[in-house]
Amino acid sequence: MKSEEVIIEIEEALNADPNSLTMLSKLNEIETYDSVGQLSVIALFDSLFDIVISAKDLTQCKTVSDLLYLVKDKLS
Amino acid sequence: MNGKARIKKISIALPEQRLTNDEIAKRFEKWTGEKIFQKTGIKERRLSKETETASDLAVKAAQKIFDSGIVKSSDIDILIMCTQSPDYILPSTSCLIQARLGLPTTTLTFDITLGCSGYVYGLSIVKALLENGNGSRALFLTGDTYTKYFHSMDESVVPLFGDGATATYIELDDSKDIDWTGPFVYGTDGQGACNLRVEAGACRMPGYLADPSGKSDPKRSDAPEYLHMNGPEIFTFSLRTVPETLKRLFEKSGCTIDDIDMFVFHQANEYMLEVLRKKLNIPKEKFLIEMADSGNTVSSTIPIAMERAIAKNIICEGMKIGVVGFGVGYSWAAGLLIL
Repeated sequence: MKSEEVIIEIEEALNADPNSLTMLSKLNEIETYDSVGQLSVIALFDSLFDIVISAKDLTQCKTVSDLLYLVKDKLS
Repeated sequence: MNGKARIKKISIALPEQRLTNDEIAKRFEKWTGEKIFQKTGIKERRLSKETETASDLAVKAAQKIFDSGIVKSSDIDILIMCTQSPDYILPSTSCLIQARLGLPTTTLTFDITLGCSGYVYGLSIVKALLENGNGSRALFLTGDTYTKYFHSMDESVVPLFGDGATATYIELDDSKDIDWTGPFVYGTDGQGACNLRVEAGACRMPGYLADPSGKSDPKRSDAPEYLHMNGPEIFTFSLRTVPETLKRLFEKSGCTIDDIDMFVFHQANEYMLEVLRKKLNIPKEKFLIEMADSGNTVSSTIPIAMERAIAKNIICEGMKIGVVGFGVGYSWAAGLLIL
């Protein structure tokens, strides 16, 4: 799956506007990336890639790019 | 009397006071009542009065069992109370309830201090006691008042949890060939203890040490006397654990999803349940979600959902039910029931 496609999935999971996120978007600036938003990202990666990322790992992520690297890391 | 343990009746008791989503939304900036419902599937939860304890609610639920005429209080052999909101540090809440219900002094009685897994563990314990000659009639109570542990501004717990209690009457049935309860599978991982906890108030961190003044600063929501939950960690734990537990239950029982008429999971919140349902490929019509007007009542969610489904004829006699409890501990268990 291409990075652009994953970003679209993240936008949908977080109810963010289409094309509002890029690799450089800061997570703490996304209004819907609260504790419920984090659950949505955990659920998204589980359904897309069959991986359950830990909440601890998620708190280390600062940008959308960090999220994608986290997935890449778990899949490798 | 030989026989097999069978659930004969479930009753519930909820506090009168309600907390609606609109009332919660007034406390938290950016929230609306509608958003809270969308994210949790909960419309309102019940709050115990300051003077009302889990045992008060459990006694009311038990009284409904006796009022139904299915069994007399004088015929009860076993009383188990599952609670994490006891009246006192000691004695056991179940001893107080034995006296209040006027159960015989020959009653076998104790507490289980489990949370979300407690109903499934309790059924397994009752089955083992009944089928091994320790009595014929058991009353299994669940009850909690987690809202007493809340800081009113903790947004991770206020929208989710509510107070409530249930009573399940279980007796030995003389049809020896049918296993009405079980098999069960269990699990524990105490490394997750810190993710859902009330840290202060018992012996490791007595309340007076946590707060020498004897009264917590009401502004500090992170004080150890309050209930704290790391929602994302609990979610991750559930996604990892529940599918594996159900797999073990299927292996042990020889059943598949097709053999089960209804799944009743611990009603943590609708969002999590829906993610789990999709992950497990359980059809929607076989997956009970019944928590909109009571919220997460800890060990009472499964019997509350079952009681309501029985009242609506969604669950009927003879149905095979798959129950799964998971959460605080971490502790989890799953089992099969035939009603």
